[in-house]
Amino acid sequence: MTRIFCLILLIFTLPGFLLSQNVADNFPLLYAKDTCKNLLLIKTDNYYNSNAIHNNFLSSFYKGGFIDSLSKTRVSNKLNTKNNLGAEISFNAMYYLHNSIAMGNAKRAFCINTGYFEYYNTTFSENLFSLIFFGNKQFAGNNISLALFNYQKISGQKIGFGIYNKNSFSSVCINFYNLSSYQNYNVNRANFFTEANGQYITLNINEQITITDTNRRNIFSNNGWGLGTDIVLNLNTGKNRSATIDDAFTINIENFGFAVLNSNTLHQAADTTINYSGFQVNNILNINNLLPVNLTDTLKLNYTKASKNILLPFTVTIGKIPSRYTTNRIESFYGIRYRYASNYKPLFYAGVFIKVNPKFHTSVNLQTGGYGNFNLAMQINYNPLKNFWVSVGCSNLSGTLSGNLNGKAINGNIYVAF
Amino acid sequence: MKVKTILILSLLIFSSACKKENNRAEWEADILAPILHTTFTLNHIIPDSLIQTNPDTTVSLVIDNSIYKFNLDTLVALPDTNFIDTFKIPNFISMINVVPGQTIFTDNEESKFNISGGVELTKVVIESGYIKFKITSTIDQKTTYTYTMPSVTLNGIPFSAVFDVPAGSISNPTVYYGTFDVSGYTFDLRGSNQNSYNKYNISIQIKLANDAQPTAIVQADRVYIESNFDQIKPAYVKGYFGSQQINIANQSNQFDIFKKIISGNIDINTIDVKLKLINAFGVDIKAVLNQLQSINSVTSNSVNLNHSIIGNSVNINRASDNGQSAIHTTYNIQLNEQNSNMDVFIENLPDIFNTSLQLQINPQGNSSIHNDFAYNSGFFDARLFVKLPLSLIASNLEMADTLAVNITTDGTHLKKGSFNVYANNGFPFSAELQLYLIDANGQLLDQLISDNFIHPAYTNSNNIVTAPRQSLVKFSFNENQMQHLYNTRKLVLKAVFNTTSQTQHVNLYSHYYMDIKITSDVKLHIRLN
Repeated sequence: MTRIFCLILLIFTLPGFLLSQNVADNFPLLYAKDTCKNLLLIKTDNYYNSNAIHNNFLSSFYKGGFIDSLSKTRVSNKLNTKNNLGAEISFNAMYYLHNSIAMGNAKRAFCINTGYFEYYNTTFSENLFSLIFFGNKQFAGNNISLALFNYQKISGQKIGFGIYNKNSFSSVCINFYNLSSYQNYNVNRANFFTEANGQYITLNINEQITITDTNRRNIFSNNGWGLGTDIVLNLNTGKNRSATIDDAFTINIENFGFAVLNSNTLHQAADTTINYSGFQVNNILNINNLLPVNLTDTLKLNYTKASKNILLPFTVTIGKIPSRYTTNRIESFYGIRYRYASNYKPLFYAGVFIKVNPKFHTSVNLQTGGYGNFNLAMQINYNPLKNFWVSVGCSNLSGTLSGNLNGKAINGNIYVAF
Repeated sequence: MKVKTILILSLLIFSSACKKENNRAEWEADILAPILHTTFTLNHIIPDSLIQTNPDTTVSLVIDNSIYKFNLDTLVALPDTNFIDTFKIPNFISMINVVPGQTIFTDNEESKFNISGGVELTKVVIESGYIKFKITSTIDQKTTYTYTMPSVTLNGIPFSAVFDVPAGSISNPTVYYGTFDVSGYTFDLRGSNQNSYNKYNISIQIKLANDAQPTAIVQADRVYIESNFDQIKPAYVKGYFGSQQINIANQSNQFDIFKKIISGNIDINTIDVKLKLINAFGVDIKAVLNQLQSINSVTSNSVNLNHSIIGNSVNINRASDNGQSAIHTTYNIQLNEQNSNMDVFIENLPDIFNTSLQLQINPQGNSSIHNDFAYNSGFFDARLFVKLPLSLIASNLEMADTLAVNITTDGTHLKKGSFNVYANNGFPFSAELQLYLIDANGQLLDQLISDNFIHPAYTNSNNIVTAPRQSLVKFSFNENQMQHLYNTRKLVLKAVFNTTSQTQHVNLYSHYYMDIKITSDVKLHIRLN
């Protein structure tokens, strides 16, 4: 028991470990017993990934340290016109009141869903990266586009109530959200020109900014309310659950809804051209009489405060999942996941689920999309006690173990039936 | 065992995700960016007050510099005059009983301003000032004082101060201080008989206060009254100001216009100089200019003015009074290359004028019969007026200016590179630039020498600019020099100028200009905050 407690503590106290597109977490469906009265699934899913930014670069940028030319060049060589970097931290607890009867139907029961989430993602151009990390000299005399650029952060908590089918664990939950932070920086157009001798710089820019109240930065601050739903539809395609071969599909929609940012939300937009030719000196013999360029004024960074409605960054997963009713020790699973975010590419995954023995299951899969490229994922499910499963997984094994590759990931699951 | 392995592995993998405090991301980038731009004309180089555009758009330097000036306080100084009076009952009376409201002592005195220099004033109008009282009294009841100056009036009403002094005792006298404003009052200083000067009358009355108790004044009782004028500033004075002599020996005056020239030669085509002696006092003044010296403190060279004015007296007539102010008179002395060595005097590029001057007030004595006058705005001023057409030959004319700098860094800093000066020169002279980096102790840290100079504009045969000319002057610096720049507290900019012609005088026109753009081509070490 002590060892189990240590493991739980490890998973739920590691701050910010960024996992993976967790595709093998259908625990209730896999391991529920009809005799149980209550089921509890606790999940944490943490990851970051990018198509171009390798871990050593990101580590230096985030933790501090010198980013040398080699490190920058390795990123630069992998850059596309449009590049992605995204990260997620999420903690969720799903409580199934398996003994309850919902809507007068004994096959249905109530469930309670709660969680915390932080989503970050950014899209940036190759030119923007080169400008920031290599400087503008390389672009002297050339007009370059720095767009598109987008950075979005959303974080908050949710609590939901719903019903589910005791056999299929298909469920519908209505969630209430407290948005603690929302930031969106969007640059649609940014044409940047450095005169060949550096005598002036122009930037033609179209940008919009939305930021929730910057004075309320606590992770539990209230900067908006939301309403949404989580829908899980598990389709057991086999008619007889005791059949030796059975298939199951899942359609999972998470956080589908909207939020209203409160009236202290800051908004700014500009569509302008900035021409910078240095400080204007009225009298060269009185150098103290400088007229500095006021970039804030030039950019017209005048913020207004107003409420705003936004769509929540919902997730849709459709795929084949391992079945609890099969006697096969090896099963395939595959599917597609999509996140409503500016730069999340559809994630395709396919792999095998292996029942090594009754207490030890594992899965291995390949996936591509999301914020990164091809990744190898692995999940280990362990049943140390009756009706107790614990799982640790990583959707980016190579990146997690290597600083030269992109992304890190970890997920953890605890499932208890009692 | 399995759990322990997972625990250790997990910690190893993800401990790297913990952000360390105080460490910041750093990298280097090549930055090409403008720093400053400016356009300057002669109006930017020379203050507007010193420049005059002639009808043909040539430009003259006009300098109007005081070489000696004095004001009213030098001519007539009113002292902070004291008046002291003591009261006691006569010796033959041992005691007087007094009742409330009864007069105890009275006195009428004539006081006098002790003004130096033989000044005999008949009238003074006070702009601002105070009369202060210190009363020391042993009388054991409250007393009321009335201090009146009948010849000091405001709108015809004599000055009168009434104040109460608290009770004291012989063993512990009371001391009272009072201050009264006399701003705006007119002093008639002709005395009681209207035929004297510097005199005014005082009347003092001491009564037992109306709300006091009856008491007895005894032999040992004393009252001391001390009054004095403080911070008296006259608005107008009239009388005879004496036959004073004012000797000014080696009076030095800064002359900033050439101060920044540190070496080289300048040849000026023509010069127009006037020495102006301006008298805004109602007195005659005789002036003798014993010496006027042009000193170049950089070269330590000095030139004495040679002109017939030197050592010979001139009389400057008194100003006239229009009832509101003085209408000054001016004595002009023309100085040029023909009647003096003024060209050499100015081409010495002085930064100091040294003057020795002797002035005598009222050289004919009291010829005005006590009708000399002066307003507080009055002055005597010896001024040098120089009109210098900017038609010159500059030969390695080296000018220097010092800029205070303090370049700080919060981690992001320049590593190496160059500052590039793009000049579009519309002046008919070239300029060679040098930068000297001086630390906080005044020590030379480094010298940045440009690889080129600013070429002069294109000119025709008359040395008139036909088109501006582009030049690029680059100041390169390595990492070591860049470090010196961060330690620099003074930046000395030296520029050596040469006119396009070294044989003919080159006119400078008001429309001449130079565009300068300074850019940086640097490797920037960026440190995120």
